[in-house]
Amino acid sequence: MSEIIRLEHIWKRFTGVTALSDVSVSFSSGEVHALVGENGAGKSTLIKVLLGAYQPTEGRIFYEGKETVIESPRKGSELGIEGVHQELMLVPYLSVSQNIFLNREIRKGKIFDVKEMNRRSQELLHDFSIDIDVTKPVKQYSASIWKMIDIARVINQNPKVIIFDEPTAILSEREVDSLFSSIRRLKEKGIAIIYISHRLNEIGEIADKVTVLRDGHHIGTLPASELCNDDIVKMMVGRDVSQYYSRSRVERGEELIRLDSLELKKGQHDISLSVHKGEIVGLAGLVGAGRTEVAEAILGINPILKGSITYKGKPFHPASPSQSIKKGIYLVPENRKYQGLILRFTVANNIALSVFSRWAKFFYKGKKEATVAENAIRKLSIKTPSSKQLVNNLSGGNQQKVVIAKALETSAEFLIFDEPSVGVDVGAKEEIHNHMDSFVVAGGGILMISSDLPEVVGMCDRVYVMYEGRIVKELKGDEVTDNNIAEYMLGSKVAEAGI
Amino acid sequence: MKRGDIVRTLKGFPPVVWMLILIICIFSFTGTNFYSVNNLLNIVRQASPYLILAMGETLAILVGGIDLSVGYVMGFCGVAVAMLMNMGLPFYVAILIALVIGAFCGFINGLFVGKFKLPYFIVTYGTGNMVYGLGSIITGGVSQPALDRGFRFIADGTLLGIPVVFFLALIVFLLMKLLIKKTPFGRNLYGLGGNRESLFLSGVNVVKAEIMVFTVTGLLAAIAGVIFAARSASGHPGFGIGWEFDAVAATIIGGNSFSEGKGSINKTVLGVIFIQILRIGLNISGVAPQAQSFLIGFIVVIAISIDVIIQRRK
Repeated sequence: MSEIIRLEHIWKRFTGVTALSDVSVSFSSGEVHALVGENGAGKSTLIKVLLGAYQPTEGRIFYEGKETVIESPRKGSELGIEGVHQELMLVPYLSVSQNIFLNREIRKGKIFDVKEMNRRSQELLHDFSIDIDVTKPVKQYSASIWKMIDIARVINQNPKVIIFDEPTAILSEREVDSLFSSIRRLKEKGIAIIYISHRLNEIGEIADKVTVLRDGHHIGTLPASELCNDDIVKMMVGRDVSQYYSRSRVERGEELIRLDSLELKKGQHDISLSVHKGEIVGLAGLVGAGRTEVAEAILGINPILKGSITYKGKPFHPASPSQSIKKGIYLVPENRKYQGLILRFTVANNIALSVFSRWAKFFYKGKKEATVAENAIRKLSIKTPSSKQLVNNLSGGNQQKVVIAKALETSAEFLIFDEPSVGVDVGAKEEIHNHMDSFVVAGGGILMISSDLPEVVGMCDRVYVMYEGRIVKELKGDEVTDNNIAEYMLGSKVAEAGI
Repeated sequence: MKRGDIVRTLKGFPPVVWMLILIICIFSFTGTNFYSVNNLLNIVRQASPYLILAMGETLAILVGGIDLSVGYVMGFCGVAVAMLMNMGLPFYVAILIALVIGAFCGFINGLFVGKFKLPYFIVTYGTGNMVYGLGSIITGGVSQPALDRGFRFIADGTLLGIPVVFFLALIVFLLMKLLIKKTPFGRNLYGLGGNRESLFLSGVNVVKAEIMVFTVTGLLAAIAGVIFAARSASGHPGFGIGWEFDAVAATIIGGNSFSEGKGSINKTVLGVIFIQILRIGLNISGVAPQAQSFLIGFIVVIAISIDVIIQRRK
């Protein structure tokens, strides 16, 4: 393994903020090097420096032994440094193979060799065990497939260094597995991999080395084999965070909501579940198993074809989010940026978003909004300079807390959390779990959709597992284990039991 | 204020302010009577209906859409008010009915874009043409006189030496500010443009909110139409043709954005003043009408380019 990039004493200062202070670290070919740290620790800045999107204020970069200035992302790309970004970077209406070969088309003379590009795309995706029609526009595929296509696009450029920025945030376990096997293949080919993730278990599984950043400082770089998760967390936050999920003991109350053999759309049927007061109930399954659709049906976004819902003992026919919210049901959606928040609104505006029309028949109550927001900021310890800050400027964890504050403000009794801790750092994740816990202690009920198995096992009293549009299993008490859930959600137990 | 604060405040001004200052400087040399009272009153008279129309257009743009029907709706409402008065209705009743008609046109736009999720461009283009066609049928394409003295007072009257239309535009502006700043209407307006999905999941009835926005846009177009009919002492279905694009141009030149629900009607006011001063300035500088059209187009493109380049730098 030879060193490919070395950073020496890198500083990056923005007006008023030092994002990187004296960071020296080197990355080697054929090695998976994980970069961890809480949100705001400087990971994004560091990778932007590597990609050429930012110039360091001080310090030197050596690439393949020579001192190099990566003056632009284009230069980075020419050197062979590519990034798989958190955001999805595809053109929706171009086909899969057109996206993969965008600006790098294979030509036969002057003309594009479409056949060859399709064949190669198919091959690339096959490595991730994804077999889709590469001639169809990417728009019709799910977000997790987009991610895989994006990764294929980057690999196709034959880079020497690939930076993965939270690649698994929207992937299901199975997809994560195929991503990891292709990362291992890339590693064998001698490519240097820089891997950023909040999921510590993944790091133990895939990384060779771990570099921990905190507040812009380089805390340490160690071989992954010498670190356990607790060590990493301690280095990241500089304090002990109980890595374990703590739930208060709550007496299970009366039934809050019951779904009776719902049929949603083709292939989604036999959906029956119930949530009682004082319970956190998990809804596990692969991405695309139909979990979000269940949440959307309860909110009245998707029509219910058959079956019935009983809410607080009465029949309930969801018609729209506004009606469901009036009844005390609230969804904390999967994607806080696109579904949970209005990024150009202030923290206070967002917190009041679901309730302002209750106070304001005609005139908007600005003062009331400010008071409500200040209280919520204190209660959920949202880190923001003021309630007037644009929510866009907050870190992921704090944005998620704003969404939760917005939900709690409606005095909902039944909350649905769709991936409550995606892209959130360890500290904020724990706080979010604590808020969920106190919500059910106060007599509420929660349905939690999550792809993070330790989270499901750690937080839930009961778990329903979905597989291909159906609920195939209810797991209670001791049955709630990683293994059980995984077996049902991957379908292996389903075939066996003939469900 | 410290010197740094002043600099910061100046930097915070939208670029249109600087361009406005620039063209005013130029016209004070080239135009013979640029600062005459008469000329200023002229600017105010001409700008008022245009401003009211453009504020409505701004609402449609802030929700991420566009309204191409406002010019036609304006013309039709002018026709309506003239014909209703000619039928013997008192002018205030005629005005009221014309405003209801305008609001209804906006409501229809809102219904189709909000409820049925059809493209803004097509829906508003379609309703605009229908309204124009309807106006041409009922008038036979002939101008409808509007000579009622009370009605004409809107255009010709003055209070304290200032044209009534100025106060009308001011009142409409202040009411719009109130509506946008202080009511759920305004919150929903920016929410629709900012992130419709979040607003919907937060329990806001987004269809209703969007219909409201377009209804107000239609209402403002009707007010502009009534004022314009009063000024020309007649109504004609073709009176507002092309104004929708002037309204869009003023909105954007003022510094509002076609996306993300960014902007405000203050900026639109600046945009309207800019275009209006540009027109009148070219006029009194003796530029031939053909060349005026070219110059306005040219300056608008340059102005927008400067604005966009500065925004990108930020």
